[in-house]
Amino acid sequence: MHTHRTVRKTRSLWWLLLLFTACRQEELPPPADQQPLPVPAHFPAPHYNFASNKPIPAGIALGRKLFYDPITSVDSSISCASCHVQTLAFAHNQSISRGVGGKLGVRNSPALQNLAWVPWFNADGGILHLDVQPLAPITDSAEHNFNLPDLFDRLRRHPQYPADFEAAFGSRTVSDRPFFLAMSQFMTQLVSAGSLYDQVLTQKATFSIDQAAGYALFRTHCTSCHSEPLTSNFAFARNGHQSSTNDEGRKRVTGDQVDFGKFRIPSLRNVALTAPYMHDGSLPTLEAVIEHYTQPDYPADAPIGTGIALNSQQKNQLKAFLQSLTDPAFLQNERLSSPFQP
Amino acid sequence: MYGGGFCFQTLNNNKMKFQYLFIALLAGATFTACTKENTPEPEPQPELKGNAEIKFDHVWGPTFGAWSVGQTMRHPSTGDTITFDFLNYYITNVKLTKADGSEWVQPNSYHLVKLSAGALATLTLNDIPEGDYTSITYTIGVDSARNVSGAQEGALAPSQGMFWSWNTGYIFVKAEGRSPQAPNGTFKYHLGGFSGANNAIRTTMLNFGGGTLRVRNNALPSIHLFVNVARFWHGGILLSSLSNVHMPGANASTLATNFRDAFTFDHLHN
Ligand code: HEC
Ligand code: HEC
Repeated sequence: MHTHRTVRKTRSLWWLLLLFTACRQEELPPPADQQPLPVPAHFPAPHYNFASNKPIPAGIALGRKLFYDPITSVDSSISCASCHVQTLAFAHNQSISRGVGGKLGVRNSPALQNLAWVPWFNADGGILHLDVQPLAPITDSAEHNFNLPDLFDRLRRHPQYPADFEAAFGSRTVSDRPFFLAMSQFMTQLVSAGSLYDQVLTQKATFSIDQAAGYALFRTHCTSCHSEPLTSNFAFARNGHQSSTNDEGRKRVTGDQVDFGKFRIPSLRNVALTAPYMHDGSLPTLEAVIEHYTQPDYPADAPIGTGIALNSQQKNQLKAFLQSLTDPAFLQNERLSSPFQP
Repeated sequence: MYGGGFCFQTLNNNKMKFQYLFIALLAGATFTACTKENTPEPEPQPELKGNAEIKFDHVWGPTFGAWSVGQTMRHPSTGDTITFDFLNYYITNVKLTKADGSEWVQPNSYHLVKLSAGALATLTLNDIPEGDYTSITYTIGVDSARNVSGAQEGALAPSQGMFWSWNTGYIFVKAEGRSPQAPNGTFKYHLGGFSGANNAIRTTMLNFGGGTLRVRNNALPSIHLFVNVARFWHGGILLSSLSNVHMPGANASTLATNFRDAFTFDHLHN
């Protein structure tokens, strides 16, 4: 009796301790039945509410399959990964990507990374919750060109998916909530926090002289918008880039003229791999972007104004810093790659 | 549920109800166990519950003329020619009120009326405490919290086609059809908006004209409401100038107010 009691007491103390340490975001061995929530120690608290959708291995696996499976498009030709390529930080190398039947979309495919920290999605911030983000590409005629009822029917008739839904959510039912929760469980795993920049922030490495100079320039001219450590504050701003596609930007969502030409400030993590740049994919290289910031072609918000003065050495230093945001481990992480045999 | 020309769906909440019931029973049992010996109380009676129906009778114009989906009508004030292809809308947060002011508030109250043929839609309210109710209150639209809480199930599931993909939020009212006066021959009114000046959530209270809805365990009384669908164009709105509404804004707000005022009490059936 006594021993039992003590054991139980120690056990609950152990759990308390676990909880306590978990709150302080220290590295712990993950409980066997649960994937750790990937929250890097030098990041702020995530925006995504993990309490309402706790990632588990079977849920992540289902979301990963759905992400890579063209079954999600009307003619089974396009998957999410058609436009979101892992080796490009889940961005695409086209100015504007094409969907089903080669139909051209309207904006550049952005990188998908650290999505749990993003409060609103797309260049205009129109989507307010990660869980409902996949609805846009699935139903857009220039992307998957499909609809949910038919997609769910297809998944219900599939030899494997109902079992995958059961493994993840305890029921073979294919419906809105398990579908979208699984997508989010996978997408929140797309965490990039292993670049040289991150290692410098966590005092595990140091910058070269050029990178350090570039970082200083970045902190002087860029972090009012591309704030650290996520390299975006996710606000809407005019960075002086004139839309080549007559995109209204934020105004499309608010209908308010004051928002005309404002775009959500993007994260610059892995930016060396996400060319071409801007919402319309009209700037082909990092050099072109840096050049743009010295001579904007359109009224820009402070501190860009009529242009940031940079000499050619400083331009190179800034570029060297932007390249330090590349996270090779993220681009090669096998847990994020296609689960299907090529 | 999909029979006839309409269907409606309700957020499923059975599991939760059972849990509450269980807790309530448990609490009741403990309470009785503690007090039995001292004071002999009468056996606690479980509160009896009944169901009721809301019947939406869609009509045309202030004279409540016959109308149905697919039928070509002339607008009584603007003269525009209008044919509906379908009409969908959310009825949520339903409340029934008694003469003494006490209320029954339906938990998880989200219903989607989908009218794709005919003129009549029926919605069932379950588990209403027995009593005599004198008015109904409901919202056309979806409360702001649910607009931004991610993917829902049942009536609120994105697969119902009542959720904007590119501009998060529910389409509270979706009315589509044809009119020769509209620039491209069709009209599409997708009404929504849950915040600020663009708020298109509309709440109405309708009195039962002095009558009482008698909710009883063994009966199925019904509330008959008229929905005058010509009311969308109230205030002289012409299809030549307003045939497409696809996002929250002033037009959506005006049409949402007009549609709110389309609903009037007709009669009760006890
Ligand atoms: C045809 C190309 C294409 C396909 C296929 C595609 N996307 Fe995208 N994705 C885009 C574009 C373009 C944007 C930016 C849209 C905008 O800004 O309006 C985007 C944006 C996103 C975003 C928002 C990122 C951010 O930071 O705001 C997420 C998340 C996303 N896509 C996930 C998905 C998922 C999940 C799928 C599969 C169901 C998918 N995408 C399929 C092109 C595509
Ligand atoms: C006033 C806010 C603001 C400042 C300051 C700012 N940016 Fe930007 N940046 C933006 C916005 C907004 C965009 C997206 C514009 C678009 O999509 O058209 C952007 C886009 C970019 C992109 C393209 C990313 C992509 O994936 O397409 C790069 C690279 C970039 N900025 C680098 C910088 C650098 C380097 C600096 C400092 C020299 C800087 N920015 C300063 C707001 C800002």
